[in-house]
Amino acid sequence: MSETLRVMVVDDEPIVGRRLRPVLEKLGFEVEVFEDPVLALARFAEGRFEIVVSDIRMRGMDGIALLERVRAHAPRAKVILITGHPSPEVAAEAMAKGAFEYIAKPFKTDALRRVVERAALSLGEMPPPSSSGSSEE
Amino acid sequence: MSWLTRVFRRRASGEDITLLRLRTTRFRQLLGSYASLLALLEDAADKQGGGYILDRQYVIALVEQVAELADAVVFDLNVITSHRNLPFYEVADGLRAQLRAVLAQGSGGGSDTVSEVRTQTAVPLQTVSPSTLAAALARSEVLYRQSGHVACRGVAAGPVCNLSDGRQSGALPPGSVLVATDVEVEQAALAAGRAGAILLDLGSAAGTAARLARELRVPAILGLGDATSRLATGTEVTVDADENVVYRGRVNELLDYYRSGRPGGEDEEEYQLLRSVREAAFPLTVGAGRTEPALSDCRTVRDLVHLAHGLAGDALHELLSTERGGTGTLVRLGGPAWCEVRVVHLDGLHRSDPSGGIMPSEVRSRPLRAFLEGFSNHHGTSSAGHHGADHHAAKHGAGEQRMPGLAPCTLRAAATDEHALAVMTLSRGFDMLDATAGGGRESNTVYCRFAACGDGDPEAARGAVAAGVLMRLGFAVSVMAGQASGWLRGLPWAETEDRVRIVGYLFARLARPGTAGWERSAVEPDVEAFMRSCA
Amino acid sequence: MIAATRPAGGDLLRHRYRVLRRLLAANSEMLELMADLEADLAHLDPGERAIRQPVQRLLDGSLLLAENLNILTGGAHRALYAAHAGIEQAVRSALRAFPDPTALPFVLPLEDACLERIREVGGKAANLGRLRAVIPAVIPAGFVLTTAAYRLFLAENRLQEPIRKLFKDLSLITGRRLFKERTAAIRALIAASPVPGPVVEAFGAGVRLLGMNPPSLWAVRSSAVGEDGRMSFAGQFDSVLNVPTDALASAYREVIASRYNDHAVLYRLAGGFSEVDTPMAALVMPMLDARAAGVLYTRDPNDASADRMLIDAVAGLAEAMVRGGAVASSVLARRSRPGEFEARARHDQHDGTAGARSAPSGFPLGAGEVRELVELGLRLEAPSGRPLDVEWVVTQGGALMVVQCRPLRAVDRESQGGPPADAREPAAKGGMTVFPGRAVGPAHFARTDEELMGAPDGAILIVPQAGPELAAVLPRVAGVVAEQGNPAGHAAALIREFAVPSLFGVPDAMGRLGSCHALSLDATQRIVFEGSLWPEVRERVRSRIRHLPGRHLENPLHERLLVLNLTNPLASTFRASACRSVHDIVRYTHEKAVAAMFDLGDDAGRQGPRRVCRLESDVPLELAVLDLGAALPPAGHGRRTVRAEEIASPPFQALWRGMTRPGVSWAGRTQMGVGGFLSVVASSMSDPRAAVREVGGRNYLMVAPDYVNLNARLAYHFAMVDAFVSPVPENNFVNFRFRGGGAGHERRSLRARFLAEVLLRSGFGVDRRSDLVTAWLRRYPRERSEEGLTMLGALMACARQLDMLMRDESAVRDFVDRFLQGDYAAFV
Repeated sequence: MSETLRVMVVDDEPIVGRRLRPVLEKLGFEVEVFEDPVLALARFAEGRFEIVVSDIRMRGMDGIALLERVRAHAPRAKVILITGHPSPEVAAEAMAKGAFEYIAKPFKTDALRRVVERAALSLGEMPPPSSSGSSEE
Repeated sequence: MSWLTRVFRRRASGEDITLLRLRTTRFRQLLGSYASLLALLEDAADKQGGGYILDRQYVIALVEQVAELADAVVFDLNVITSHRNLPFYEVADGLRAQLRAVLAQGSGGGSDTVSEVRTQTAVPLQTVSPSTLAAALARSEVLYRQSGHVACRGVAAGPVCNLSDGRQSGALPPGSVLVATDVEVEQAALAAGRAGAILLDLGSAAGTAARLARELRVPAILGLGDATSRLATGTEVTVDADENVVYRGRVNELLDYYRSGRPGGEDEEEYQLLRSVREAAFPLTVGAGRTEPALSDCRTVRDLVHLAHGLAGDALHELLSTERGGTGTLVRLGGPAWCEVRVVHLDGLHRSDPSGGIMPSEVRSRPLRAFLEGFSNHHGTSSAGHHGADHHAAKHGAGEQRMPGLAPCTLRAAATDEHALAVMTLSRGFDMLDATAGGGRESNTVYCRFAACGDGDPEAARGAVAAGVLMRLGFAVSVMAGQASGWLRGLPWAETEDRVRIVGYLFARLARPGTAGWERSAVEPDVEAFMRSCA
Repeated sequence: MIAATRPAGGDLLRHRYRVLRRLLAANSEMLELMADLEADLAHLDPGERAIRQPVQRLLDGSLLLAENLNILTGGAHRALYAAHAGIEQAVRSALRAFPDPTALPFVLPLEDACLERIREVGGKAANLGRLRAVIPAVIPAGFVLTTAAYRLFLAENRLQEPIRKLFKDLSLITGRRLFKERTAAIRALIAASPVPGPVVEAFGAGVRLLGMNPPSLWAVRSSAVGEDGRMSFAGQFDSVLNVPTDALASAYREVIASRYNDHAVLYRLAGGFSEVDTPMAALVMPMLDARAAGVLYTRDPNDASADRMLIDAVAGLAEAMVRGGAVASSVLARRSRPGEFEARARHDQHDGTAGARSAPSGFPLGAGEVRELVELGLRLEAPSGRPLDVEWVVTQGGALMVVQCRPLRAVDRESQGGPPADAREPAAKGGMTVFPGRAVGPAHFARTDEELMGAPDGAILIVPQAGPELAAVLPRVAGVVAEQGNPAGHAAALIREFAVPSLFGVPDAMGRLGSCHALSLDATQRIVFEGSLWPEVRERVRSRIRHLPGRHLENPLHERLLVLNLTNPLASTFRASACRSVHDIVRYTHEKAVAAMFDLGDDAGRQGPRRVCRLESDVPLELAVLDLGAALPPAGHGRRTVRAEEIASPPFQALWRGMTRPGVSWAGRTQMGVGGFLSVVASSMSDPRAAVREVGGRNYLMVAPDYVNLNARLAYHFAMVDAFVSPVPENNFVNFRFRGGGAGHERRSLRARFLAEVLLRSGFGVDRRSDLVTAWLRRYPRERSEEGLTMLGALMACARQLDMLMRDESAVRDFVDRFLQGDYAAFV
């Protein structure tokens, strides 16, 4: 089995990272949480992250800009955007710029779990170990 | 006002029709805003449950939506009442400010300061590595995943104590996982103090059990459907109420993971904030008594909106019922004429009706036709429809054999093909129906309102009977000053019409309480009797 | 007296602001509803409940909008009620004319499938059914499982919701993988759903329709509503052949599932159809025992004007050819002389010269049969006069039968054009060809979505930027000219799908073509002429649009709800009584409400003594601040002043940023006139020269969190700013008016020219009459609107004394450049 996938969660609302961390760790991912997108980007440049979960509207840098930088730096990385202000235009822009998926807040943890699992699968990695359990619906 | 006298003239002038159309349409919009407020209420309660990740933005947006609805309702009220309720604006502004203040307070001790202190480099503190944890979870058998509603988050493990096999909650061993169909308040209070987690077949995130679980901070998943039949007493389970999952057996890695790294079982700030906002916006705090509350009593947006919708309804009643003479098209119900029914068509397409009136089946408006069917069915089958064995039904049945000398009541309606507004004037107050049926599910709505008191009914128990029936019919019901209002939306066309038919029947049944009047003590049996009689 | 009452006295201003807010909220809701309904009407039966609901909301909403406007204006637009009643009456009669779809039959004989029932039987069956009624001998008998059966299939299996969910957020730009995953999931769902009993029974009834000895093998084909055979290879992927009678139901399910093939879904997405509600019917016909089969194009698809038809033929069933299993031979047959060949066949290398008398060897049809086929083609073409794509079969018994017939999309050599015939000077040229060809039509300029929706049928659309929102109008416009656009983008993909001659990247197209009414576009040569140059092209465009699916019956719902007739607010026809559709009412109320707010400042002056705050700042401008919403901090004890930064109103802050921009100076040579002056200014937007009033010395600033209205006398002139800025672009507006000054008429006029030029270059709409300048930004996003306000703030300061500095035309240009470059020092 390949190395554990690493996920970065970026949201200036601390609750999001706090709540998502256990959800993702239970799937076997290594998780790092950031409230500041600029710091997150700096960390992205030095570390190896396969999946980024980011808010769109943040102080400092918006999620679309983050998406563009991440994709420029690591085209293979899957970026999942979440937003409390969903609109078809932003969704279209996000998808056009290569976002893997676009989720509206508030969302159920399970919804995000499924999306991250799909992202992991599409990376061609082995599915994380718990996905066998998760297939039982 | 001169137009009032003209509105119901058989050939009402175009302007009168326009006014009636404007007012009924705006009233419907107002009711729609109220219904949207109720929908927000439900949605917020759902989000509070814990299954969702919500952020401050959600709460902020909720506040703005609620305030916006209040604004819209107050505006519509003022248009309907010719700007006689301008002070409502000040109160609405005040409530908006109050809600924003709740937000500001919530952030006072706030995330901003805390987040600056919080370390940004995220070093996992967990003693259990993600891969170990994930592997352990993958090995575990999942009993439930996303099957119920999370009432209180948290993680716990223990042996099941299944109350459905006759066990008393007092016998619950401490730290066990309480499994039951549903729990009564006392039972839950007793049990929850000792339970490590709660799993229920029934229950919703907004119910009593949920509230208790949250207060006592016991992880709880409700509405699982078949927990009592699947989980025998003694079975070891692990409840992960953070993710709405139940595992068979004890998953030690999961428990260790949370013990080492989980923030306290307390609700996060965002959830506390949501709770404060809900408390400040949604409860109906006025009108518990029998007297009409005043504007100054309004403490929540719901209070204000409820009061406004009542006043708007009064204005519509006034508009529809002022002229008592030959107005609109007469609808012949058959049988003794105990109620005079007249309809004004607002769609401009109606051909002139025969002067002798029309039958209910000839009414074009679908909701009005359904309503009148129910209304007249009661009348036509007053003896057959009631079961003589039933005391209460018999009592009321006797009341309907009305004496010719009694003043007839009047029922006035304004209708289009898919909408009907009807008011029935009583000796004290009035009953009202506003129904739309004929579009898709979302557009099918029924609103009705019942006066608090009937003849010789000082206890305002009449409204309570109506409220009881409406609740059985699936309406969202609010009672203010004894007067019952109910909302229903989102049912398919045919089902909506069925409910309207029953409401019509209820109108007729409640028109006369019988000689004894309504008694508060008899509300429950009266409701039962009514439900049986329409079955 | 209806809806004309309003509060008196001090609350009037706040009241009007409240009315405005409600009106704007309703306005954007109406626009959204209309956009949704437009898409739905293209493929849903108007009798369906899903249609009735938005229709009802539009009727109600527009009535209340009209009332709101009357409340705002004291009943100045009551004629709207009569207009609305007319619209409502027309819409209601139209709705009553449509039967309740639940009462419709599940099965119909093919000959009953006519164009009037296209919503029940779909395009393919309707085309064939119509022919069977006219030329029964060549069309096999058959029956149609209607859209009512399809709806039952979805409803019984509760498929609508899951399909809707799977399609959520799915658009043309969704990732390919996600797209394929979801379409596959839908096909799986359908494959797992049983065909409901009543539909199975309908198949039995259909089989019995064909008489005592029904055939044993069948062909089941999809016949969808709204597609009408426009898709290039429709029919290839959604037919199931050689179906035994007892397997009809499962073949039916297969056909339904094939509607969710990737390409079919893509096509419908491009067409703006909402997936779950696109109803489909299925056409069931007996399998024919074919000796030969093939396709007849009644025009050469490569040159529609040539005198020939193209016949592709194969021995046996045509399906083999279509699937690539057998090589077809083709011939070009003379249209004018049935039976004669014109050119050499494609696959046979035999030498066939033009005018050959015999079929090439190996061609499965004899000369007599070819003649028969060509003659049939001409007969089929006759009713519509349009080229057709006909699938035919010759049975073992020698009978010629048609199994499918749809319009052919042929390339017209003429419309592709050679070099321009005349040496006229093009009005615009350049850019890149997105889809070639010529188009002629009225020019329609669209900056906003609403303007886009207002494009008349057959227009040449000119847009600053080509985006996917074009999809809404592409089927009915003749051509597109865009200043910017990505030829690999979605708009381009849509344009090619709809075959609309288009140019992207035409520099300054909006400006260059701005004065043109009609345009002739040659997208191949990349030139645009003013005027209507090629009448025959215009005819073809019209015919294409007339035959669009969904508008075949002059739909009164469309006409009375969605069509925008009141396009020009300056026209004399822009009247309440001229509103013919809900869209007209929405447009009219918005325009008039915004105009009414402009006069707010006048009322402020009339309010008399009331509690206002004075704005405390370095700017020497006596400003009385009036709070309309919750923009000011709670009033303290006897507090009479407020600082600019305390005003919680983003639009005000944007304006203020401009007024206090570094370098911008308010310390003029003349001191501010604070009282005492009498100046005459215009106050009515509709006729700026008519109503006049005196201006007192006070300047009023009205603020709310989303609103600012500044009414200021600056020295000898008068300026007004009125803006509503919210997160919803449709609601936003920024209005500006400027007039007067102490200098002579000539110089005031020069200043007005300066203002107009700056405003124009900053993207404002501008109207200049003598020294009165009116400018506006409508429906721009928040950021853009705020930028506009900031620019206005600086502009007001700079223009204050400009009439004194301005001497001639060259000074105008000079100052314009300086202002736009931020050189504010020049204005001191």
